Amino acid sequence: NEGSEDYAFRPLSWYPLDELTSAEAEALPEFCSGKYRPVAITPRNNTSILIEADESIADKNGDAVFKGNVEFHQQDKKIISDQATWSQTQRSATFTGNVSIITPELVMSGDSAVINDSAQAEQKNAQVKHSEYSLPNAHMRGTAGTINSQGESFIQLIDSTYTFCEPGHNDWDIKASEINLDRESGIGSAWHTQLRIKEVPIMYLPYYRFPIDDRRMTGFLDPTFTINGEIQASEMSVPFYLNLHPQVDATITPKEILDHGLLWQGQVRHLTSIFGYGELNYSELKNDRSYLQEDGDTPRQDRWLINYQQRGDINENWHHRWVYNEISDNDYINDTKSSLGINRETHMPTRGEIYFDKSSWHFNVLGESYQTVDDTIALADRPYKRLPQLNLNFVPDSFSGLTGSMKSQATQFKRDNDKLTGTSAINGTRLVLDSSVSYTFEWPFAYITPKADYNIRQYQLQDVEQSLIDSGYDENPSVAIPKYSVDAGLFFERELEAFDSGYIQTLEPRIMHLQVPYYDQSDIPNFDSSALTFNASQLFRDYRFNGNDRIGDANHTTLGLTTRFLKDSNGTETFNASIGRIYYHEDRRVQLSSSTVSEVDSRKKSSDIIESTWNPYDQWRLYSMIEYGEAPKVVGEDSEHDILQKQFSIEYNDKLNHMANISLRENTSESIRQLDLGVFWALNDSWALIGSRKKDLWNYDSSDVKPVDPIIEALAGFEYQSCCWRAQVLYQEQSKRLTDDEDSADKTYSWLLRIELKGFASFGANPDDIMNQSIRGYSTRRYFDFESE
Amino acid sequence: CGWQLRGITQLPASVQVMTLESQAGNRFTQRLKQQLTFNGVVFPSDGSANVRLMIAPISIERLTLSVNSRGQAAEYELNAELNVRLIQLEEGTDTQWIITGRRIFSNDINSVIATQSEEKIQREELENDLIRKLMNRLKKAQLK
Amino acid sequence: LSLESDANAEITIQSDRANFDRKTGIAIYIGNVILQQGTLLINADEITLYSDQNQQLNKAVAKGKPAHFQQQMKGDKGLTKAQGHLITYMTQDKKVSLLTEAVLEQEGNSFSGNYINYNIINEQITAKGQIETQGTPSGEQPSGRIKMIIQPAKSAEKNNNEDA
Repeated sequence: NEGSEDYAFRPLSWYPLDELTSAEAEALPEFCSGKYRPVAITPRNNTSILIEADESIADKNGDAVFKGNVEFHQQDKKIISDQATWSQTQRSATFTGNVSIITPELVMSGDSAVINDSAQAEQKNAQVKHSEYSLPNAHMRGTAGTINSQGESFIQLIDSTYTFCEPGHNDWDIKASEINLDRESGIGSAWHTQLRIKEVPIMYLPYYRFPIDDRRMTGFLDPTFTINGEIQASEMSVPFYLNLHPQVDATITPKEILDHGLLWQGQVRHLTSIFGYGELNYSELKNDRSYLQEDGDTPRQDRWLINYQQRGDINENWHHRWVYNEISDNDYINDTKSSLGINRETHMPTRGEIYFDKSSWHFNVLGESYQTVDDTIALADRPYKRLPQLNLNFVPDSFSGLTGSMKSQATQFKRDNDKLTGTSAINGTRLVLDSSVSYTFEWPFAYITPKADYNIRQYQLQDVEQSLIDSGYDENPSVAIPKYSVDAGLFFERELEAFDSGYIQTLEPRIMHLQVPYYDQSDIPNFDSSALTFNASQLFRDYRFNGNDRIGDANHTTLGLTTRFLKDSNGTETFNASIGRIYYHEDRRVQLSSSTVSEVDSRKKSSDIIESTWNPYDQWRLYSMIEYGEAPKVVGEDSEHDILQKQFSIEYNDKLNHMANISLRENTSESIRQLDLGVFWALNDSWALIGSRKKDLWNYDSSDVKPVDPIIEALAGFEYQSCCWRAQVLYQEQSKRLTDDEDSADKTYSWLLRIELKGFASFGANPDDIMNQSIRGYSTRRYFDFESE
Repeated sequence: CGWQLRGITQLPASVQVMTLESQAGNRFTQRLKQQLTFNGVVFPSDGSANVRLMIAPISIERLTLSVNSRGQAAEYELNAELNVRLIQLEEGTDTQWIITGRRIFSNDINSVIATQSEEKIQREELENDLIRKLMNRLKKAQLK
Repeated sequence: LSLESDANAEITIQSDRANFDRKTGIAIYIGNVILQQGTLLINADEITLYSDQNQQLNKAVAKGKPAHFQQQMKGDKGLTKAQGHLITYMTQDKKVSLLTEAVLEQEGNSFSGNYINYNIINEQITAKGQIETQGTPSGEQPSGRIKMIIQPAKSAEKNNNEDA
């Protein structure tokens, strides 16, 4: 049973470009001159040894001499040489002249080799002198004075080198007096190692351990560093990983931050069947230097962060998830982790939840509170703690058109109110019972869905000031409000030829009438309600407010029209556009108590919303959205018609490392006008341009808080890669988040340098997270890293 | 100009009998199963169906769309990606679709709980959007 | 050495036809010929026996597709089997040469190739893939490679006495 490789063996199993199949050549990036092919040896189906040669002479005790391109084949191992001798007594063979030992994982070639094939597997060993070796599947190769392999899993390389670079290019390699690869423990260890660039030693390590498979191993992880605008190392860290137990591991990372001092970060992760996955992150920065510089007298502050996450399954239907966050001060994250992108969150959640999910039943109990990390948010606007909140929902499958649901909720709202007065100081419990029933009459060309809801709210309020009670404030308000709506739509279709393919264009007029009677809710505190973002989907919702403290009165009719282009061949929606408007028949009297909007919203019609998405070709995506209309009346201002919201974005991604996006976003209610750019463009397989920018275009008047620089975030740089290393050089600008009343946040300027020795380690910053956020599609880029095909 | 009321839009006969293997959470699977049943699909429990519809866990990424003057996140954007595989056992076909959806909502820093519940609503409506697009794909699936 | 008893054992030959040339002392047996002498066994399509002046057999040439040769070696060595299109057995100087698709098996190890020469006295086996000198009887191009198959080591505990 001769090995039936369909390609002849080449030294180190490395095949230059001209020998590759067209498919392989096409997949090969330009900067690689060839590729390793997996060694294709058809293993012999028994443990006998086959030796082939031009001629052989055997003597009486079975020793034999072979001459002329000898091939020694045992199970999945093959040895080729000019001559070989076999000693039946010692069961060993010596090979001389162009020796190559070929096994599926390891290929060695050298001047001479000795192998011993004793009965016991662990005594089987081989020794190769002055050899070159390669691990084809791991795209690794090197040279070695001597290679000793013991049994099936231990290989020792004496004064050897080790690199990821392709034969003939020694851009970087590791030289070591001894390297041991133990496949059983999955650990490689090296003594007197030198990291060499173009064979010039640049780093020396007396001893170095590294994993040779994906099992976890205690040891140093890749060091990181970033450089600030003044070319100083602004951040340096060297993480150390501890593989404590198959279910527990830890990482300890000392991080020197130029402006602040030494930060210690610790992470412990565990995975257990009972508790599921848990992760504890604790980091601490003692004697922060930045406090020293500003005002010498205040005692130096210790700063810390605690973050715990846990999630798991109790059984098939019961699950639990927990998160705990606490930080010492508002700027902690942005002072210590700014190289990973600015944290723009204003609140840190602490939440525990146990939930049950099975077909139409859902139940959960949760406890939640937030740490506000932004002093500019007024105490009255800070979130209540929900200690606890219980939800029980029953949403059965609709039964031939009839759909019903019943959602109940009980919540205890509580927050620290000793500095609060009036209704803001009120805490209390709230019961919610929402039931709804609807019936859908449906035909292929139309549907009509009458729906009726009944929403019940019952409060028990505490900490109500006596003055309020005296003025008739009800401590146990309750409301029960019915809601009636009819939603109907028609579907028109026609065949259409466009963009050189067949389409079905749909035209979908839709009408919805909503009737919700007015009930005075001005006495009800606002625990968790807010105005919903006004967009296309809001047009057809039957509620104006988010949360459960406000049930907006309504008597309006919404008209909408949507058209879609569905590709005839595969049903993809290449184009859709919709327009909609609400006609109000009565003024809306229920408002959020603390909003600046005037008591009654008397606009006769809502603003118009136009929205469309277009994918002319797979690589292109165009999105646009405009809200045109009259802003809700603000006391003392007359409002005129204007564009309240708009968004235009163009995205290109051809899945071959060419991606770019540009988008303009404007939302007057949030005083936002922003231009975003993002590009990752491979000029060729080696060079790629990287850039992104967020620019604030809002025209602030002098009294507003303005960002220090309209460029909120920017990134510019390039990436160069060759067959065995990659470098990224990026210039980064970031404006931090204001966390108290200083007039403007400072900006950080830094250089993110990253050198990645493919297959070995990477040094420098890791800008991937930032690029994922600012360049659309970056997370799906191609890397050419020889993940084994 | 060629408009007429939409005619019967049955799913192709080849997908009328299928097994649904969804890792996409209870709520999404529930609604998808409802839509499929409404369009006449049958799910034999003995696993004898020739067609297997496999839904990977839905990945919904939240990006900071815009930043206000104080550097706080003003608006979020949700980008959803649904990976679907439609396998015909006998014919040996294996069609893969990637269906995407996007939503924008504002971050009201003065009522964090409300923003959290709005995100929940937006995610649910995004899932319904993905289901509608998946149904359109199924109606046009070119299967042997 | 092959078994002592073989050398002076009586030779028996069966064949379909035979003719004998007394003058030259050459006997040719044709048609599924079987030759036995003690443990020596040759069967072939045609065997030619050459004997010297005093009627001692000094060479046997067997032709077949292939012809087979088998002999029990000394004591514990087990049976040596061989085959080839042309087997020449020099009884006096104890040499066997096998030509074209030759195979020789001894103690589980086997040799194959185009030309195998087995010296029974010093038990030396030489095998060659390519023959430079004589033409081959059937004239096809020889494959040019020899093969040896070595049985795996018998694990120590199983039968440690047999290890040579």
